[in-house]
Amino acid sequence: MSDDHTSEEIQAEALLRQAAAKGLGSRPGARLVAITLWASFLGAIPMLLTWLLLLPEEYAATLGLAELSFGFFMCWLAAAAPAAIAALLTQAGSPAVPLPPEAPNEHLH
Amino acid sequence: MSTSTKPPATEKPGLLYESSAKIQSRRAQGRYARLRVLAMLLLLGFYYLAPWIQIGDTPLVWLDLPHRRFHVFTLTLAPQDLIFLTWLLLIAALTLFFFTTLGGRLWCGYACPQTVWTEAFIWMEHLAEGDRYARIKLDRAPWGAEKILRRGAKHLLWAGFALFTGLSFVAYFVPARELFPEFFALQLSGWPLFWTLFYGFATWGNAGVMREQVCKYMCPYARFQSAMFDKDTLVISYDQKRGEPRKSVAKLGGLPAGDCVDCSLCVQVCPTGIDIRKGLQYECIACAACVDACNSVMDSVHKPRGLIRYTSAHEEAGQKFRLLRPRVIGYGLIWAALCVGFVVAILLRTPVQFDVIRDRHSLYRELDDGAIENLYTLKVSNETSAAHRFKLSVSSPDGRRFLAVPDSLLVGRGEAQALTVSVRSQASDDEHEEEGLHGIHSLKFSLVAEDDPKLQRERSASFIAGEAHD
Repeated sequence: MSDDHTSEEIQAEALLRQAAAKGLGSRPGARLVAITLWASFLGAIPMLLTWLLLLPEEYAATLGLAELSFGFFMCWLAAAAPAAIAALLTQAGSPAVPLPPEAPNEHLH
Repeated sequence: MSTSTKPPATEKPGLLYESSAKIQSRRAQGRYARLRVLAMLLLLGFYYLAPWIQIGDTPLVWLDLPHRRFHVFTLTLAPQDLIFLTWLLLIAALTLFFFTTLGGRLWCGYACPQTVWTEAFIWMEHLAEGDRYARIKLDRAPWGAEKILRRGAKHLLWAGFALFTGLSFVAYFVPARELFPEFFALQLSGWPLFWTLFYGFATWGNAGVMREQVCKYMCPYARFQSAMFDKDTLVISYDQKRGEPRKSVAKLGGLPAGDCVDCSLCVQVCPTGIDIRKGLQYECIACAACVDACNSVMDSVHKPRGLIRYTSAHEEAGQKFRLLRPRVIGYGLIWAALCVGFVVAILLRTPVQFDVIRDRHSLYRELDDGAIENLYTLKVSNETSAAHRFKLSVSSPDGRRFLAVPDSLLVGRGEAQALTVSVRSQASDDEHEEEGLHGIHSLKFSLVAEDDPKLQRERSASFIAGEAHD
C-alpha cells in the first residue's frame, strides 16, 4: 500500500476517475454536439411560441400540426447556429474536464 | 517505500471496480431520498394525470397550438394575452432565483424533470436487475438466459414508460381522450406519432442512458448558479473540522481520528460522481444522497449525524445563518409583487377582446342623404365558454349620433372574428348641426354582450368628415 494514499482513498479516486471519464466526459466532440442540440432545443421553444403569437390571424388559421412541426424544426435549426458558435467558443477557452491519469490525453484545441 | 500514487502491481488494493467495468451507483436511503421520491410521485402524477382531467369539456391543460389558445386550468390565453405568458415566464424565472438564493439547488435535486425521470428509471432498473451488488454481478456475468431476461425486462420497462411519457407529452397538445384510444387501436399516425416516439426516445435516452451527464455537461443552470448564491445560501457541505483526519489516514499516522470513517459511501451514492469531501463543486446537484448515506453510517458507528449536511458558508465559518438578507428580500419582494400583480390582472381580465381599426384606404364617403360614412375593421375575440351575440353602438362626446352597420355580431366560444363595419353620421333635424360635421371627431365604440351585460368593452377611434363646404 502506498504511503501517500490509503486503499480507501484509492477506491474513491478510482470511482471519481471512472465517473469523469464516463460518456461525454471523455468525448469532447460528442459533448459539443450534445450541448449544441440541447441549448438550441431550449431556444427553439420560446422562438416557436413567439412566432405563433405574433402571426397574423389570417395565416394562423391555416396552421396544422404538420406546419407547426416544420416550424419547430426551423426554429431549432435557427437556434443551433448561435448555440454551436457559443459551444465552440467556450469549448476552446474552458478548463479541460478532469480526466483520470490513465485516460488517453485529450486535445481540446 | 514507494511514493507513487498507484498501488504496486503485486498488491491488490481491493478496488471495487475494474477500469473497464460499468459504474453502478448505490442508492441512498434516508430522509432526503424519501423527500425526493415524494416529489417525484407528485410531479409525475400531475404530469400524467393533467391531460385527462377536464373542466367542462376542456382539458385542464391544453396547448391548442393550431388555434393559438393555451388552456391552463380555468384560464384561456389567446395571442392578445401574450403579456400574461410573458408575466408567467418572469414569475417562473424569479421563483427559480428566489428559491435558489434561499435553498441552493433545490430545483436540481428534487424538481428538475431530468432528476425526476432519472429517479423513476433507476427505480425500474432496481426492480429488474436488483441492487448494486446484483447489478455488478450481472455486469460481470456472461450473456446467458438470466442476463438477457433481466436486461430485457429493464429496457422493456424503460421503453414502455418512455412511450407513455411521450404520449402524455403529446396529450398536452392533442386531447388525451382522442390520442390514447387512437394509439392503442394502432391508428395513430403522422406528426402525433412522430412526436410521441421523439419524446419517448428523448426520455429513454436522457433518463436511462445519459442521466447525470445532462446535468454535468449540458445544463446551463449549474454554470450560473453561483450568480444566485451568497454566503447564506444552503449548500451541501462536509464538515472537515469534524471529519478529518479520516479514520484510515489517522491510523497510518497514529493520529486521533476524525468522525469520517472513509467508507466512501458518499462517493458511491453520488449521481454525478464527485467527492463532496473535497468541497462544493459545480457538478453537485444537491440531491443529498451523500447526506443520507453519511447519516446512516454515523448512526451505525454511534456518532452524531450531520458530518455531511445542509449548511451555508457563513455557518461553516462559525457565523450565524441569516435568513433575511438583501438578496433574499430583493428577490422576494419582486417575486411577491409579480405573483400578486398576476393574480389581480387575471381577475380583472375581461374574456372579450375588442379592437377597432379605421380603414386607411379611404378617408370618408358622402352618402346620397348627406350623411358621412367611414369604414372600420372590428376584431372581436370571445374567450368565454359560450357563444355570445354582441351589440355594437357608436357615440360621440359632443352628442352627435352615429349609426353602425351592422350593429350586431355573433361570436362563438373561443372564436375571434374580424368584421367590416360602416359608421354613418345620422341625419339630424338640425341642419346647422349637420353642416358642422367636418374635420376629425373622436368616436367611442361600445360592444356589449346581449345576454351578459358584464361582458363589455369600449374603444375609441377617429371619424373623418372632410372639410367644411362653403
